Amino acid sequence: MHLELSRVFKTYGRSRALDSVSMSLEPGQVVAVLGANGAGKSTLLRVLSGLVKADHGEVRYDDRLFRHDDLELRRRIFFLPDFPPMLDGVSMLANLGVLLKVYASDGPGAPERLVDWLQKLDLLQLAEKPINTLSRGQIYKSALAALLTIDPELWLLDEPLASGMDPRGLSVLRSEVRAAAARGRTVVFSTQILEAAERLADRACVLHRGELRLFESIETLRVRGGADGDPSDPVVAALLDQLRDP
Amino acid sequence: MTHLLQPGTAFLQAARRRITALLGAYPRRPWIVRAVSRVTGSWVILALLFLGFRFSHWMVAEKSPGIRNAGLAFLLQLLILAFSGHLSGARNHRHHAACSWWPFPEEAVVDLLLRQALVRGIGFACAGAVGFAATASVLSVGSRPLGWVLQGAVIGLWVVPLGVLFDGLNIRWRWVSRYQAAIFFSGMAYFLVLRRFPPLGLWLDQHGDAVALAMPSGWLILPWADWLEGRASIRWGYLAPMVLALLTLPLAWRQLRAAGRFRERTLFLLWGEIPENAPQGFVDQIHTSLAEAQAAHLPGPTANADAILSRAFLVSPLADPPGWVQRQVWRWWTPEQRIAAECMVRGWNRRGLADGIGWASMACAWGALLMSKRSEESQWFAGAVVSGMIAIITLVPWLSAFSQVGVIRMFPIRLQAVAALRWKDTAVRCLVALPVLVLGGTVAAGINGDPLEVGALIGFQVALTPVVLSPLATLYGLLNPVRLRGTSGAFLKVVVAVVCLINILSVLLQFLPLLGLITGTLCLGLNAVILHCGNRWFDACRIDTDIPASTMP
Repeated sequence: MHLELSRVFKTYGRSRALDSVSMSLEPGQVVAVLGANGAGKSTLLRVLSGLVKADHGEVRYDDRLFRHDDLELRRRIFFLPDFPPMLDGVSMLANLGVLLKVYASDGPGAPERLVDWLQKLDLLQLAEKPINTLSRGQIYKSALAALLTIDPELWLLDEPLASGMDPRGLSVLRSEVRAAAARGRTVVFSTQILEAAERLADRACVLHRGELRLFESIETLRVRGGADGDPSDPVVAALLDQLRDP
Repeated sequence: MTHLLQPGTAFLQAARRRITALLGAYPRRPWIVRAVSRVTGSWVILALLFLGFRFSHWMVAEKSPGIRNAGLAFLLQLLILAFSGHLSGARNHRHHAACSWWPFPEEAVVDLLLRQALVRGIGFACAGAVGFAATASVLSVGSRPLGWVLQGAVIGLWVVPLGVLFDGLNIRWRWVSRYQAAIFFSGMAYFLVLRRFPPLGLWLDQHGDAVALAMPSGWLILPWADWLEGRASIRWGYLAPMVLALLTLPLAWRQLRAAGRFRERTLFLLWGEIPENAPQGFVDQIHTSLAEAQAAHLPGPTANADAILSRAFLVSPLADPPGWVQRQVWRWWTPEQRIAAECMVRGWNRRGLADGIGWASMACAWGALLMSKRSEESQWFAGAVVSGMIAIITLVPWLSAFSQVGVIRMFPIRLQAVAALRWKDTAVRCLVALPVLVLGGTVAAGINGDPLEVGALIGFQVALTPVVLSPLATLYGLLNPVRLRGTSGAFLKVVVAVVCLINILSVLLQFLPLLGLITGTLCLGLNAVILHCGNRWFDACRIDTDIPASTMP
């Protein structure tokens, strides 16, 4: 899915969450969104998912203007926030059933795929447990199982590496992100761990107070953020330095 | 599972002391005054107070002791119902579950919560009692003022123990609560209607006490009335069941605590929120019990895999409902609305339909009073009550249902589907209540000597009103969980209050047939505009809110 943001502004009251952000993503790319707290990472993901509407600017998918009520388009995008909201008071399986139906992914083969992912994520024995009795990491993994079963064209993951998942969940996430990119899926994830971004992503997007300060390949990021690099943007260099060694 | 907490008895006592310290000199402060001031801040208690004033006036003016006693019994029953529901709400306190994060054992937390509920309930009852007592004393200057004052106060105060008792019954027999509103409201609503019918009014004049006796609250009212009349009576014997009820109160209270404790205990255990200074034996027992409970009640991985592969989890729990009405509703929903319903509607609630009939019957009663030829004042009052009541029953059910909006907006579901779902839900409720309302309006018109078609039309309009108000309720429900940019919650409430007022006035005018039709049509248009703008408004709100971490334990 080709994704294009052009001059996107977003403010919350007096604070600017996104300030004229423009970027373009091609299918099969894995993009890490980096930045300090309040840089606008989550807002960017929410704008991309349609959950948040930009004050100005456009978001286009495959040259199609994104609208919140464009259900066909929204079903091709899955946003996984750091605290996935689930329907309270029902089981994990019931939640997964709703998600599959909402994303029109409940066709033949869906249950088999779901069982497979639940097994890989070590969740199968918890399927009938009420969702509100699960830990944060388990809830995140169950939402991840839904994402993997649905396999949307655009994956939007908010802080997946700080989601409370156990090593097994993180391992599945890393391997599946690369596999998804190989299948032509686009993956955008936010993180504050520079090393993780370097290992997982093709491109990096560095935000600072809502401004897009860098949108380059991961190799360029290494050069710009390296100890012996030649930073042309001292803000980015300082930020990357912080992210590398907090 | 009670044995779990036994090793920590000393620890529990210490925790209770900490709670007491936290609450400070709570019992020594004028807590009733504070509680009264707090609850009178809510519009619910103000409405109740207003009802109390009006009922007191009606009771004092009523010359027939039989009708007065029956009416007082009804009033008391109404208050008990209200308080009972209030306490039930406290018991099912999801928002209070956060208290489990406190480093207190859950038993103490339950005690704290119930105590808060009781204090609020007492304040609630006191406010009503003050209303009755003040009105009664004003209205009966020179004629047994003390008796009326006392009667008003007693009515208000008796609400508390009886409310607790009813709540205990609800805990023991859940089905009671399902039909409680319908039973109480509809039964006595018919009484209020039928008392206007001359032969029946005459019969009630003679046998109203028997009607009062049919209600538990009447067992208190009748001896009290005799005492006021200065009559020696064997009806003091009616107090015997009340005494028995009082004796069972500790049992009911214990059940209430046990029910709340179980909920808190579950959360406490599963969330693993064990205080650091808890004895090790206590902690070990909790973990062992939790593991055993999981092993005993949760199916294994193989069973879960089989369940998933059977695709049973993809079938909506709302599909193929047992009742005919529910099946029609299910067919009426679009596929998108069915998924939205799965998120928002937790099972088919027969109580909703039963309540609809009960409320409709109550509206019939007030419609009859509205058309009575007693005075212009009573007509306006009755109209206001009917309108307010309809507005309340239209608005309130959405507030809880829309708590899931935070989740739904994450999904690719259109807001229009959510709004349409609610509108259809309202329409069904109104359709179910329509025969009762039309029949009630017709009967009431016949009793008052008005043209029958006018009564039927009024009944139809009353049924139509919630449907008309539905878009407004939807809008409010959508706006409720979100926050507007640059505006406060108070601003939003004022906006909603103004719109409600406009709607209530238009509903009131509906009772004048021609003007009512015109204003009703205008109201429908206004709400359609509000809904249209509201969805856009909601879009504007939506973009500025954070995603609630609703499932974060």
